[in-house]
Amino acid sequence: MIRPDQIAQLSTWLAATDITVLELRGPDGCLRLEQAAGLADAATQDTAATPVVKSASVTIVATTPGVFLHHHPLHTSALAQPGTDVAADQILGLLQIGLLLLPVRAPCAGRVEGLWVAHGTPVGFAADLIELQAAQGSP
Amino acid sequence: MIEVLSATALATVQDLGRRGAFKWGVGWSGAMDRLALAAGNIMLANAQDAAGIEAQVFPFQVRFDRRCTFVVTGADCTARLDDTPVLPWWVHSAEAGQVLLLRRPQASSWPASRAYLCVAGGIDVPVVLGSRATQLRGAFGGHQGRALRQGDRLPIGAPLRAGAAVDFGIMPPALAMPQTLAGQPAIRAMPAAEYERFTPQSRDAFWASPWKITPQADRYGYRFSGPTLTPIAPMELRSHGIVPGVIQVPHGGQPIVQMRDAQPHGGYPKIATVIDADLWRLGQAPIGSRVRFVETTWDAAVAALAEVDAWLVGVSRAVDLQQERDRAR
Repeated sequence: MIRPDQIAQLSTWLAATDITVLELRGPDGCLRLEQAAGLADAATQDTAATPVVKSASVTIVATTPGVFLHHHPLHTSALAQPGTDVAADQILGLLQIGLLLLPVRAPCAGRVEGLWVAHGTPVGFAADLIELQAAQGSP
Repeated sequence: MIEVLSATALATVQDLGRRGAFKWGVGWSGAMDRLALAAGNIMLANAQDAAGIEAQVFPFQVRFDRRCTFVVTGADCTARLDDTPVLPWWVHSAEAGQVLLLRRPQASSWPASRAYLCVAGGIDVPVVLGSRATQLRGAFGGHQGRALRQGDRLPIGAPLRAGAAVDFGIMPPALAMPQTLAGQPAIRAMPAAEYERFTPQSRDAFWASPWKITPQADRYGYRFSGPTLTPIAPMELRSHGIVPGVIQVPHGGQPIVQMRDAQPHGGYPKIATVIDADLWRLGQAPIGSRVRFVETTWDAAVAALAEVDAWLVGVSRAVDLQQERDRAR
């Protein structure tokens, strides 16, 4: 049996993703959580990651499971080297799901502080991907 | 419209090619890397046989005169849209007036030589004998039957699907389906009609040696250099029908592989034929690089074609998945 506090935790995790339906089936029953359309944060709806603000430092986390890539498979240099300044909306990494590649974009202008996971690492929902120091005056 | 800004030669409008016209002496034409063109079209929700631009000399520069969705597949040309980097194999949007620049492919994890610019709706040139591909020898099809010139303005068709997903990429097939032998691209081929009439040493050398693509390599055919291939006895053949992929050996003993613009007949002895499923790999191999030929069979060649089709189905599924994600938001 799933406890109510576990359902609450699952709901919180679900809300941080763009997955619309989560269904768990077991011998004892079925749990189905649905996310209403349009609840996604408009500022991040075109990216595969959503920012969690910690003071001036922004942690960009995965909103879809996938393989985190520092660089495009055809390239050898990273999209976002630590220490480089990046513009808002710039692609900093990629999440690969099979043949599909999705962007991990900067939610605001800033400086890349570091990458939390190595190139080619499979990551789950809400995994910390990139640490960004927000530029002065960035939202 | 797309306006060609660069004075670059040899860029052409291509689709998947003109099949079924051999009986009139009209060859295939079509994209040298058909997977790149087909994938680009799938990514844009186009028909798979929509036409795109094949660029093979760089820099190549165009201006979009209306808002449009595009993808650059094939070789990675470190492209830029105005000042913004454009990822290869990625669906981007361009605003009216923006300029797309494709640069010379750099050393990358996949050495390749041809890039494909696909746009949502396709390049809307007239269909001639069932295809929009440029037939250079016959001077028809494509844009006025010729390579593109500076100042050419190409019409864009109406997109099939409004609001199709943008801002995603696809893993290039060369990385998803790598095929190398001793670090060189491995191209599968089947022995052809005159194979047994070459000396055993020549036959062995054909499969065992790296073959260098000489500067005499274009859409018509690739001349290779390597060990001399010698017939057991001199051969004089009447001219007969040939298809892209056929590997001829003229008197000098250095093979020529017929490519997409090959004429449909020839009289040189044929040692082997590159299988259809691998022609795109050869179509991307740069001049000066070396490839290996790997012997295969009819059944394996048919299976390889099914594998290529399965990859395209996989691309369709990935694009559908992205479409679903887009709609769900």
